[in-house]
Amino acid sequence: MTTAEAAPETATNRQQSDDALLEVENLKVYYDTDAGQVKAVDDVSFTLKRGERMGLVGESGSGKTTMAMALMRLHKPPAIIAGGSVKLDGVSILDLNEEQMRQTRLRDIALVPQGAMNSLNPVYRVRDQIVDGIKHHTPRGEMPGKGVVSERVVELLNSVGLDASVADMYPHELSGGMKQRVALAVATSLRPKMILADEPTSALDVVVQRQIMLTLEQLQQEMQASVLLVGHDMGLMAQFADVLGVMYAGHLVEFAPIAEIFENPKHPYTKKLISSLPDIQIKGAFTGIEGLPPTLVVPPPGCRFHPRCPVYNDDEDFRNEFSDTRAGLDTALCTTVDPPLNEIEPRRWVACHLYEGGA
Amino acid sequence: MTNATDTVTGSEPTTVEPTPWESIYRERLVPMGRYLRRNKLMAGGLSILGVIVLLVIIGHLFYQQDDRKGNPQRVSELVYAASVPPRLKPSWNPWGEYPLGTDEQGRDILAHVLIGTPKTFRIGAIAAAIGIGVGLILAFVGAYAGGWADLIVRLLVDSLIPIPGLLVLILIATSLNPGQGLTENQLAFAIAVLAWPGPARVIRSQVLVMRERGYVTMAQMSGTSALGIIFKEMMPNLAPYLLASYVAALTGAMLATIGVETLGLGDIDAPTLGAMLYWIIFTNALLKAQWWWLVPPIIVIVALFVGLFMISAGLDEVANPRLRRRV
Amino acid sequence: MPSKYIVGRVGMFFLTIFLASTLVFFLPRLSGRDPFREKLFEEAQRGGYLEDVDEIAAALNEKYGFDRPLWQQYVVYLSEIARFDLGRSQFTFSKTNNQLLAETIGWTIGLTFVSAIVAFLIGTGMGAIMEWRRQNTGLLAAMAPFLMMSAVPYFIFGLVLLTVFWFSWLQAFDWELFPPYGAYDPTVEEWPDWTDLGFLGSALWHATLPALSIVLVSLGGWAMGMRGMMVTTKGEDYMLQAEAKGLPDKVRFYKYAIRNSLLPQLTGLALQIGLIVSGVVLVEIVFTYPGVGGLLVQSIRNSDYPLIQGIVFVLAFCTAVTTLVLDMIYPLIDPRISYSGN
Repeated sequence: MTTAEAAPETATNRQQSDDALLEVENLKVYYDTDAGQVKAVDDVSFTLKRGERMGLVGESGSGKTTMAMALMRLHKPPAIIAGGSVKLDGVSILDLNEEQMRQTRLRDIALVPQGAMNSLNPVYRVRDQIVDGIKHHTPRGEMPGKGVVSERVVELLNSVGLDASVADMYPHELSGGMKQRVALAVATSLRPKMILADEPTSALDVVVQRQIMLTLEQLQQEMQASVLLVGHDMGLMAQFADVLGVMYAGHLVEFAPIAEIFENPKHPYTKKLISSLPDIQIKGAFTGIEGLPPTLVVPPPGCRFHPRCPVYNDDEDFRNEFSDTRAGLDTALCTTVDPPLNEIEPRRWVACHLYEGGA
Repeated sequence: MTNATDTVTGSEPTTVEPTPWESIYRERLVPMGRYLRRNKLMAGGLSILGVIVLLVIIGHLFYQQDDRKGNPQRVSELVYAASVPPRLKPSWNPWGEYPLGTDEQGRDILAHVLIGTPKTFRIGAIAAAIGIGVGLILAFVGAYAGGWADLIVRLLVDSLIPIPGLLVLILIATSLNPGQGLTENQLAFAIAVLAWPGPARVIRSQVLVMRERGYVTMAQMSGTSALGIIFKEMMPNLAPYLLASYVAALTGAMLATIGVETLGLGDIDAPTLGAMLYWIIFTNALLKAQWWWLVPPIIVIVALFVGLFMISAGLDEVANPRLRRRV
Repeated sequence: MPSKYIVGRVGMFFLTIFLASTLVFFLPRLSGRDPFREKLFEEAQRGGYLEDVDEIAAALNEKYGFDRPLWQQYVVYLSEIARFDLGRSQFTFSKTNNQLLAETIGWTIGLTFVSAIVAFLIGTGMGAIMEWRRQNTGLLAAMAPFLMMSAVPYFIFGLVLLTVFWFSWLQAFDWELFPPYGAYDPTVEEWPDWTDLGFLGSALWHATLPALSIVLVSLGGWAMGMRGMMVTTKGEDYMLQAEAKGLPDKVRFYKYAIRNSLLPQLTGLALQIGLIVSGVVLVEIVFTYPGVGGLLVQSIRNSDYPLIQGIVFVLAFCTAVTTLVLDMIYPLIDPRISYSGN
């Protein structure tokens, strides 16, 4: 049905030591506000493999959306990227000039917007909004004729489960689910290597949510693209993601294959999160844990999680679970040293003093 | 961010019992001064109007002119001096008897401006006050009663706003006082007829938004009456919008007065700024090189409108906090 | 669906015309006065001759049909309006109101449209660029004087322009930079002749100051309105998505930001028409421009009610037509209009 040649090849000829597609290293995104510098994303590192699906969860304000936007350099002032590096298929995203970055967007990395958003331009037909992305990523004079483009639009619409007639409709004539499908069609129109989906199903009803996710999964598998799914819904993550990152107060506190996270969460925050899910079927939404997330202007000293940490606070309900490791924990560290993200087992990253070897 | 709102809505009195003046100074004036330092537009606008008011007051206090018999005339006789032609032909000599010169009919231009400025302002202020009052009532009736009442208010407002106001005023003027021009009060009322749709629209939309807010719902659930909600819960929050609407209405009303008078539909013998312009244009003052006649009213009118505009822009910042830290 | 919107708007247009003509008919008659008689009395007193005034007034009133019952007058009036017959002036006997208006309305419409559209386009463009290029603070500084000007009424600003660009120039250099009055050089006999380039130049030269007093004053408002709309539009989700789609800056500016900010600007224009028309009438008086403004002042001085009514009706009619045209443009700008409009 779809052909691979529509996507111009770039950067793929580079030799890769492994099959890492997205390498994020020590990424820092800060907001410069009157109240001071807000470290919304602080020292986040992770690697996403080609064709891999990663979930990213966290409370609102934990920096997950900010980070996702920074990966495409879509962060808006007062947010600035204060340090670190982002490599997409070996290309350093942060070193591209504006025009190169523009070319990279949609062609190499595409965004599926939040489901609740009005992400379609209300004054143009669906067709025009699919075509303009293609047009501005095709070198001058190489744009195929109207008939070919029209066929491609129909093809894309069909691939997301929409009828060809949708092409000539305006956004206000579409339902929320249909709009999100159009957004999927736009995002996949150039067969990107990486799809960034920021809560793509929020504000859609459950049935539609499921359909959208299935469509996304289908497209992802067909194109062998990597996906970063940002969201709240642990159930959704469990079904969709291969690996899961957990963010807390601007830090990535745990990063591991999804099954291991659910079976054996390492970070106390993740553990509390998993245990707060309503049932074993892992269907529940992300309800979060009790207590308030810290302010990022003046974060708590040491580990940012320690004021709510069941281990540090010696919470009865969790005492058994951490009994073995807590013995070796120097709780003074929790209030003084911000724990770095360490790989304690292959592909198991945790930022917690509990797992810092002999300390 | 919240400082500005605190200043507008006022703060709770402190436990220490200061004298009333002290507390007014400490709780109202000091924060207001602090606020004005940040809201430069408002401060600038208020200063411009302040200077005009001050000049008019000083003028009224110190103005002195001989009548035709050589007796000194003071404030109370100013109208006389401004409206009855003394002996001098149009002339300008800043160091002479008439610092701003005299006009075509030999009247004292300084006296004319001193009298005319507050008069014009007064007409605008009355018209705007009536307009806001009517607009406020209609807005609440529309927003609260809903249904037909709201539909009628909306239709009235929407159909009146695009009508050229000057034309309606011309018709009203020709109807009320054919051939003679409207008196000042008639003018104020006639302008008020056109002054309410704007405020009604702004206030209605605000009331509709407010009705859905938590504090109004809370008051409703705790059994507060509709009037109680309007006066206790909504009015304080409407205050910035009311003030902004009033300034806008005042600007519009003053523009209308001056326009109608310039057309010769007001009392052309009354010493208002508009009547001055009527005579200036009617007698081709500038073609006769009588620039001193034209310059004072123009400066006053421009200053008045610029001042009001700056205040209104400053108020916009209060009414729409989203804009507050921008520009 | 769109046809329903159009029918609604056209219906609204006729309703406006009907209401305007009704107001024009009834408002001046509320006082129950007899302008003929009053005018005659005035004249008679001046001439010291008072006989037969009542008879002459009665005769005149009969001739104009003012003696008939109000409803009959109203029906006759409406049927005349429907034929666009604006009746006869009470004091300019040589010409009908239609003739008098035909001579003048063209100048007014020309001045209003050219200056309003120029101001709208330049102001809107400036506002759009101002918000899109936030980092360019010089633009905002350049805007400040225009903002201050926007506070001043058109005709007052016209007087300022007249003082500065005609009077002061004349005094300083003994030379007219712009002419102080009229619409063209009246010394050339065969003018007005629109095929003559010399006349065209003269007309433009004469229209410069009146047009500038409208354009310079309106610019700031349009710029600020557009800037405000652009702020709102820039915050919309589709703007982020446009960037995520890798669309070039130019495309996002024109096809996304401007296209979506333009509609409120145009509705703003519709709301402003009344003010613009009122303002232009006064500007014409300041510059002795041969539009309806001068005719209006004349008719007011003469208490010439049929003519006043005719002028007011024609101006209201022009306003309604403009509103209708704008109403017809909205659906082209925003496809949602034809569906949600009721």
